Amino acid sequence: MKVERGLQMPEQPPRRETMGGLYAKVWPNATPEDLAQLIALFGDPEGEVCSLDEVIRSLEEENEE
Amino acid sequence: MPDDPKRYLDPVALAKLRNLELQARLIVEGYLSGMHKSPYHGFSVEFAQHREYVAGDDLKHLDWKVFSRTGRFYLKQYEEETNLACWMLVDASESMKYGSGPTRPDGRPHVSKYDYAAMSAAALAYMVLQQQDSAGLVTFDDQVRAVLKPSSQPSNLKQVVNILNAGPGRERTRLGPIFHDMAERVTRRGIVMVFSDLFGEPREVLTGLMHLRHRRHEVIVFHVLDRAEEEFPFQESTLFRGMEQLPDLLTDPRSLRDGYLEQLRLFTEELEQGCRAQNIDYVRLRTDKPLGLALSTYLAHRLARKGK
Repeated sequence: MKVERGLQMPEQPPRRETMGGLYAKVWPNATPEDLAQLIALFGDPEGEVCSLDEVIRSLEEENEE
Repeated sequence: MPDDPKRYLDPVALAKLRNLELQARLIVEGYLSGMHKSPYHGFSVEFAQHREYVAGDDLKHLDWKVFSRTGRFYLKQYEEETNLACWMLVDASESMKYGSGPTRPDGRPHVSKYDYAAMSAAALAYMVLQQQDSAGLVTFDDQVRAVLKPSSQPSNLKQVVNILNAGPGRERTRLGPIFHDMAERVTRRGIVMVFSDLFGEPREVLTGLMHLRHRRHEVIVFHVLDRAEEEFPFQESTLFRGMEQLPDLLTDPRSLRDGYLEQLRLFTEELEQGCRAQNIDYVRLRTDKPLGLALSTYLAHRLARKGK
């Protein structure tokens, strides 16, 4: 890639990690049945991967209920 | 709902996958994806400096961009050129089979202490291998059951998973002698991570850990406990099944609760203080909590090493 001196790269929007992207990364050769299992266990592929803090908060709230 | 926090670190959901390699990958990749907002983002082996090429150096580290500008050969050097050996010592004694949470149709717990330890250890192995460090594994009860020497080959993860899939046995734990044995066997300095409920005589455990420290390993102790072991929520007359060759006990748990909790407090305090006195990280893992704490602890250690 050629980079011109003095030029600034345009600001990139923050990368949005989705659960679908995560499923594809960890199980690239998953069958539709495998994918259905992942969705049933961990959620919608359109959903955003949350931070550790958010996951902990969510699971602890569920446990309290 | 897309806005709901996803559950990639939920022990029960992960246990339902029943594929340890996949569990490990999901824990680590989910954890790292969710960490993009955190200061740990970008943690990897990093470029440190250049040095001039001398005959015999490996050509694959030559920096061709520098050569094209200067006409001289320089090598790229990276931090941690010699990779770090990480040993995971996983307790596979009978008490690790315990789990008080949701059960499978066959009555076994979805997440026993062993399952939680195995998921954490496999995830750590995956992360360690991703960073080109070496991951090794030992499973033990009253003796060493399996040993996998550290290797940085990505295929080592499959062997880690195969060994962990063997599951816990029916034997007692003898932690002290195991740690002494490992201290003698492992000569190259590295990080030793122990996953165990530590059921044994605390002084014996601490003496064994001291031996590992004496060999100048960094030691992290992950004390794996179940919620019921920590809170003792039993109310009605209960038959407690003896594990590790102890007898069954039918009793009214309300009469035992205060004494049990006091003994547990003394036991964990002795272990925690003993570890702290030897500069050993003591981390409590509870099997109903999200996975990921072991990864955070390891990353903090690794970053601290890089800062030295």
